[in-house]
Amino acid sequence: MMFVQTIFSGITNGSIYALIAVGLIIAFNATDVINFAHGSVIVFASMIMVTLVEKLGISIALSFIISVGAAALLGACLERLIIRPAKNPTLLSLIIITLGAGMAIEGLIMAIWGKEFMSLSPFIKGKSITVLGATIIPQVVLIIGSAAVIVVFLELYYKKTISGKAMTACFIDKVMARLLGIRASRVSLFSFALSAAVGGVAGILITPITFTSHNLCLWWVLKGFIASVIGGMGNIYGAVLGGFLLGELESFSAGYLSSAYSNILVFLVLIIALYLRPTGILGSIEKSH
Amino acid sequence: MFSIFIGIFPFITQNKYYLSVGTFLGINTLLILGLVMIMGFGGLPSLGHGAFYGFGAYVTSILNTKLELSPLIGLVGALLLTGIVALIIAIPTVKLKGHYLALVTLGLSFIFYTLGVECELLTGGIDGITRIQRFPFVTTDRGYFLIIWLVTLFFLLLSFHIVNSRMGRALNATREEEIAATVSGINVQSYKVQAFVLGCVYAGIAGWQYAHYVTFISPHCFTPHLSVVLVAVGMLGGVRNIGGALVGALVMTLIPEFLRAFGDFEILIFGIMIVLVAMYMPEGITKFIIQGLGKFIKFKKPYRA
Repeated sequence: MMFVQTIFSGITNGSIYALIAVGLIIAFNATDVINFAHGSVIVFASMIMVTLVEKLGISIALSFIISVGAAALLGACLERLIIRPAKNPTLLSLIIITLGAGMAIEGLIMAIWGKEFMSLSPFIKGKSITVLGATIIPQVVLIIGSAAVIVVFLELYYKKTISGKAMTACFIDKVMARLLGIRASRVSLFSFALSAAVGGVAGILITPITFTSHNLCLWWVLKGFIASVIGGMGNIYGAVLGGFLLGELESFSAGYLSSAYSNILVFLVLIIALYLRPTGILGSIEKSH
Repeated sequence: MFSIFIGIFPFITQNKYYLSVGTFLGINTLLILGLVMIMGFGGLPSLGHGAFYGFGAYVTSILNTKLELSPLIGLVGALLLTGIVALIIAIPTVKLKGHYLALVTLGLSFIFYTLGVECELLTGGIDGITRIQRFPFVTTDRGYFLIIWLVTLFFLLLSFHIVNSRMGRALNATREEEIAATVSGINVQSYKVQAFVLGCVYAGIAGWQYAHYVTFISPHCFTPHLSVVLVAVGMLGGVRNIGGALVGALVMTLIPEFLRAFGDFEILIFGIMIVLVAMYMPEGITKFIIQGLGKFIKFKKPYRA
């Protein structure tokens, strides 16, 4: 029974990581930038959601829309104000710029909401579902469902719509895309907004399960990054797969070893994975520089 | 020139506050110098520097409080153990490309923090370690100031020397164009590992300084947040410059005092500052100033036109 329960808690965490990773990858795909501020955007959206629902009593659906919108706006601001004007961005510069932005947003969160933990009650009330003697709360099903919907949506978006194809083109070859008339700057902006929106969704859905507070900003982006690397950098399905694998890995090592050392195990696995198969399980579509 | 200033400073000020700030400046300079070695010369973005800082601090604290050993032995211990751990971490990771290295080192800083909190028997958990001895032969604040700066200056000079040596040139070549460097016969891997280990050892020693000065450490002193701030501030000072370490340390030590006035908005403003500097002065403030004045300490670029 513990085995099944461990699997289930792995799914719970895994779904969270998957969603975060997908958001991170969207921006990465279009701009080749690992957005270290992604975690902060996630927390930001969740904070807004909590404030709207708990303090102002606005309905969940409307709050959801507002919060995700706010996240998307934040993402767009990040792109426009910070990523784009950066002069001659070396890799180190980009890392620091996004880290700094993440820190600034975290500071904003601290200034507005303080240092306490915040939480929401689950969106789907009701008893936990019991399968094979282990329980899983309905909120998790919601997360998995949302992740599935988002992935399908993205798949269709990238393949079928013009703007989606433009995004893909920009990733494959930015110069060529611009020659073909694609406005790379607009694609960049939109991808950051989309990435932030997905991140916002992730943050909102996560909050009923884990508390949210300002110091999770770096934590989330780290997890998302690890998940992407394990599953295959730049690959949406890889992000999802990586997320669930990471969740299971943590769950099992926490269950059978100890929760403190689970971090170390994940770290070791990460290093081994990077060493043995740096492109991840499903393969990476990273450009070689 | 600068050393003279340092020599005079403790005799000018009796004020405990200034001396304490100055002492922290010394510790931070060494710390950031380590990061300059790793990032500026090795070209390795390390988001785990805070972890090595903490590691050095904990090693000497544990040796001091649990085993009753003198701080001098603590120094040796901190130096050796930090170096060994850095070596173990470095060998598989220096091969990684930028982002991945940043990721792994960030994970490292989280792990260090977690270990610090969890291994209560060894590290005292969240409450940390208290009553660490001060250096046996130093009793005044002035004395502390001098000792810490002595150590820091030693390493500043050492770095200067390294940078202008064969290793420094090799690292420059590697950082600029790795393939060409490899083809020229430079063992890129080895030099990167050396740079990383060296930088981490600096951090460990800075940790030793910190532990015996403040006599109290806890995991909260060495959070992943700190590692991020270190990288940002190092870049602010200019990672290619040895003098940049000093500038970065100045910012890191003084700005929080200055920002405290803003209360809750402290981190927000700091973050914004970091972003602005990273965007418009990616070479760091020092380079900016050098272009204006041309008087600071900087390393030589022998083959530049």
